[in-house]
Amino acid sequence: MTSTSELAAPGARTEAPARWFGTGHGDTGDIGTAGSQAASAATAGREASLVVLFTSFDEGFDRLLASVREVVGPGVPILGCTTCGEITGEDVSEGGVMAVALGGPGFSATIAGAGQPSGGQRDAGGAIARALPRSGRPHEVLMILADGMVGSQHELLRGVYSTVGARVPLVGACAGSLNFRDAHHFYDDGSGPRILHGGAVAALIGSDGPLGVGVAHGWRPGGEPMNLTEVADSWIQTIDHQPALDVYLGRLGVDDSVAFDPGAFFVFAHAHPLGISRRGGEDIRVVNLADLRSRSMTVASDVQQGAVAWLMETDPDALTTGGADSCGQALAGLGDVAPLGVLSFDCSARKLQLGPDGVRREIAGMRALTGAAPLVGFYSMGEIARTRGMRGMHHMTSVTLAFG
Amino acid sequence: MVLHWSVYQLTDYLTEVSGQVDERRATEVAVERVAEALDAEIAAVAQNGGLRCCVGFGEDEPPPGFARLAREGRVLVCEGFGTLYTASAALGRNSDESLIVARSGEPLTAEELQMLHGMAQMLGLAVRGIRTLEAERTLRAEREREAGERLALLHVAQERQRLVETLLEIQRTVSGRKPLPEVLDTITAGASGLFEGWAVALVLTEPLNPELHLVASVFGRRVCDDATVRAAGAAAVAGVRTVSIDERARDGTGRTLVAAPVLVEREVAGSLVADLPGAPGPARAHEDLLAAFAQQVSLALTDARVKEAMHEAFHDPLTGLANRRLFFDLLEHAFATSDAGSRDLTVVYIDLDGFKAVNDSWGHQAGDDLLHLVASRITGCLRDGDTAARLGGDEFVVLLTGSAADRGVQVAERVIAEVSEPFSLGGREVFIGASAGIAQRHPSCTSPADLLARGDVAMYQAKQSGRGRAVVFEPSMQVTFRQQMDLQSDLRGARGFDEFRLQYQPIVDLRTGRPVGVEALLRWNHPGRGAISPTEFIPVAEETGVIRDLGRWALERSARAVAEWRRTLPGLRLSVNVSPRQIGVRRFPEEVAEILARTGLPGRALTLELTETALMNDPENVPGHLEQLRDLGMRIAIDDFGTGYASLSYLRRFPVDELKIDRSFVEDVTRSPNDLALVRAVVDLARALRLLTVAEGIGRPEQLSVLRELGCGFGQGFLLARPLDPEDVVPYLSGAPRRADPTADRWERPALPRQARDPERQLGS
Repeated sequence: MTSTSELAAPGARTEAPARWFGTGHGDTGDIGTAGSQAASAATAGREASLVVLFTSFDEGFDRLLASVREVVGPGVPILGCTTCGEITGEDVSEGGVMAVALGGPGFSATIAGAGQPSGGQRDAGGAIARALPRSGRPHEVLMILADGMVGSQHELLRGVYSTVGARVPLVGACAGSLNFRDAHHFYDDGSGPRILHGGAVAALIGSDGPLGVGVAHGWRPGGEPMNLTEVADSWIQTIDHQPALDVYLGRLGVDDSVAFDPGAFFVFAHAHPLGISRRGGEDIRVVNLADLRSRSMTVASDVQQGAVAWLMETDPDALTTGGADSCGQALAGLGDVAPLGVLSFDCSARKLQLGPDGVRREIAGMRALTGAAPLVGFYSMGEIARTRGMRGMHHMTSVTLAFG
Repeated sequence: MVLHWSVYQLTDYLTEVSGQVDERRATEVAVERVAEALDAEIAAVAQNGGLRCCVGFGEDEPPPGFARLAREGRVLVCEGFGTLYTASAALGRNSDESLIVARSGEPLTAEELQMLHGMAQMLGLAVRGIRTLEAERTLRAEREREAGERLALLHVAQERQRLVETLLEIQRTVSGRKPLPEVLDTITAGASGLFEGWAVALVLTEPLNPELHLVASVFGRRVCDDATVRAAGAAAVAGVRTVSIDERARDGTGRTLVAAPVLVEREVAGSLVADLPGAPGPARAHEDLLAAFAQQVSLALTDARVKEAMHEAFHDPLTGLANRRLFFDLLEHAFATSDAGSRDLTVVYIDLDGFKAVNDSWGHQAGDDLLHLVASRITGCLRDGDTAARLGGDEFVVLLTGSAADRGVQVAERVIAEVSEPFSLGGREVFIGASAGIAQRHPSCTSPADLLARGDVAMYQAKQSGRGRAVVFEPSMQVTFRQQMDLQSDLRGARGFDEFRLQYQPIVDLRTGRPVGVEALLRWNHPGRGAISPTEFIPVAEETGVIRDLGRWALERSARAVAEWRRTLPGLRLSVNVSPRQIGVRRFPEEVAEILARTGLPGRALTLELTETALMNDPENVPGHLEQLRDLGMRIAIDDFGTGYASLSYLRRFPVDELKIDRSFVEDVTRSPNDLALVRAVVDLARALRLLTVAEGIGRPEQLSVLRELGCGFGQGFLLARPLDPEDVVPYLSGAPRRADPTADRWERPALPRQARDPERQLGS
């Protein structure tokens, strides 16, 4: 499958195309074959500025990078990560490779990657950002594909932000896998394949056309707000000065038995996330572990002592609409310019909650907005979008990046 | 939007910033946390027109002049950001460094600005501590061989640690929902600890009167008195800056007062004052330290919950008036600032009449609503500068300063008049009254508490002398007051009722002269004082609530006796007084029914006497109770008719059977045309409404004659029969000619056919 959009350069509408956005999907044979198939379709013989790969294969990433390199030629930056399923434009693929290629004189990209150095995630973020020179183009975005299996991704973003500042939006997601146990991210900047653990890979994309970012989750605050009165390293110990777990379970009207089985609790907690009050809305935080003895609980990602939080609620329609809302925001960021293509980073928990039919409805809702422009992406384990303020880590959220 | 969470965040922030090993890292962490907490794109420390440790511009240079413009809080339009709203806060007093933030989209709220100031103060403290420590480290390197340096380093490190721990403790107390006094005491105690145990006081201005400075909390060894501390606090408030006041006492010793302003939402709300001994001289370190603590107080008081608690700590939540604590502070302040010989300080002590009956009958919510309305009326009687407070229950007090001697009386009389007007509660009219005591400062007045006590004594005297009055304190009242207090105490202690007994005064048919019933009269034989008049102890029993048990006891005792006597005197009736506080009790009719069942007295042989006030106080519940009692066959009499809030509409509304003409009218019925007219009117009224009339206190033959002429049906008094001890009743009433007449039939409501067919009533009961 392939899909390509092209946009003429200003003043040369009938002449050679300036920028293009191509996508391709491969799911035949092994990972190398599928990668080659996807990359061929995405580039269609054109010289790409950047190739991005999303795959739900769980091994063979060296082969993937090598086969794609063979297709796109030397020097083209390639990066990618594993997923909990790829969004192929029409549906969701599990066990394939999705390739996105950007090209044409109006696009430029540099890539970098860093595993988790001794200084931790923050230093990794700083190192990646320092390795990415600014493009000099009027529109830029820093796309980050981080490791979804290690914590403190917010520290990674702090490191990135401290280097690039607020002028460059941050977008991306955390790698996942179909079994929710491993995640990999990889890149090849021309000097050979690199497979990383911890840290992230990232591309600083410069464009002559506008770029739009959207963030939505389809959840809404329910009940009375709560104050997270004691928090230490993502451990919420008290809420409103009461043991956190007692408040959480009490508000939901359930007893401890819901937390006896960590797997069952994981599912339960994803249906009842917390929303942290932010200037622009609520950031979703999922309780991922309950400690019945200390009556405390942990959440994925950062949460700050003193934060005001709500128990969030939703319904199937609102959840499904989250993707379209995110997509609509991203497209609105393009102004009057038609989209070349759209990348979607959607949470794997949303995929589970929506179910196959809901996922198809969500994608259809997004496609209704993107029109002819290709819509691809993947299901992730944490989403990244920073367009205001300093924070940018999200969960159970749909993040969209539109290229105009 | 950040919602009232600054105090919790600050705990986290302080822990993280102060935990960094060096200044650079502490500052980096600080600016990032500030940006995150305030959702700002840019945060930095600005110094000398430049920025250091900036986050948000990345590796780009900040726009020219950004540091200066941000320090000024300008709104900037910046490429790549759009409109940026900036704000800044100094890292300490006289510091040339500022923490600045810039945020796109919307400016910082007042609360966010307050948090920025708090974070800047803490960063300043942390940085200064680190610098000192680093300087000491350098020094140590230079003088490595000097063993003493190790101790010095340790000392500095310990001091820094102690400061951080103290601030953390304060934050925990604030965020831990501790009571306000505890929060304030933690702040003053913490500051005192860092000032080597010397006193630190928190002086707050009274919101309603910013000229007043109240010492809300003080901790540590003191050098100066309250007045001096208040004066230093006032200086910091006036200048909105930290001040040091050096003083040299007469004995040559020096002392220093350092005061730092406390702000609540950018308004000066008071100051923190350190009261230090020692030689005068500038104390920059002390000022900085105190300013940091003052910042903590500001944050604590800005917290919405604490603001509410502060208001609650000083104000009565029901009425919004000053509470007892604030009133005493104000009174003490006024007392301290007025000349001991002057008389320009007056308290008016106000107690409501009849409030307890409303509260008992209609519930606490109605009582609360009524107190709120009363407070409005009281404040409506005052001028600017006067202070009204609720001391608790239904007691209010007004403080008048700088007023002429008679203004206390004017205010008291006006309050009494206002409170006597009917109140509308839930669409119902409620009548209460007020009594007031006025006390003016006198050279013999030893303390503020003494002045207030005099007002209380005068108010008590007003109550005793008939209620609804304003009485000015006189020294002789204190003796009476003490006796009354003793009486209250004794009454509460006499709950076994062994000291009480009943007497029975015959009620006589004035036409025939035959006794038809008895009224039970309560007597108290005090073990120390002997017999005490009911007019003396009944009001006290009402006041203390003892009347409920006492009334129930009297009813049961008398019902049992009369039931027994009716075996010999079959038509004998019993009249018993019922207190306003009894009739409103929810189960009163059931209680009476139970007593009748236990004693065997038929309901139709019982008359319950109520005052007009008892009816008026609870016109909603009382009619229902009276109907229930009537259904048991009882009669209802209005006692002391004509002395209360006479309202003819109530006579039609309530199921009343008898009117008892008060003894005060009977006394002069032969001498006063007015009283004669009034008694005639009552008798005529009763006749028109088909009610019985009973004249009380008939002591002279001419009174009896007039009452007979007027058509009054029944009477009681010394002329007819003195109150009898129980053992004398049957012999007395059985004797000729004055005995209960088993054939008499006039002791009934006139011309009521139902009663005429009632066999019990045929017996004249």
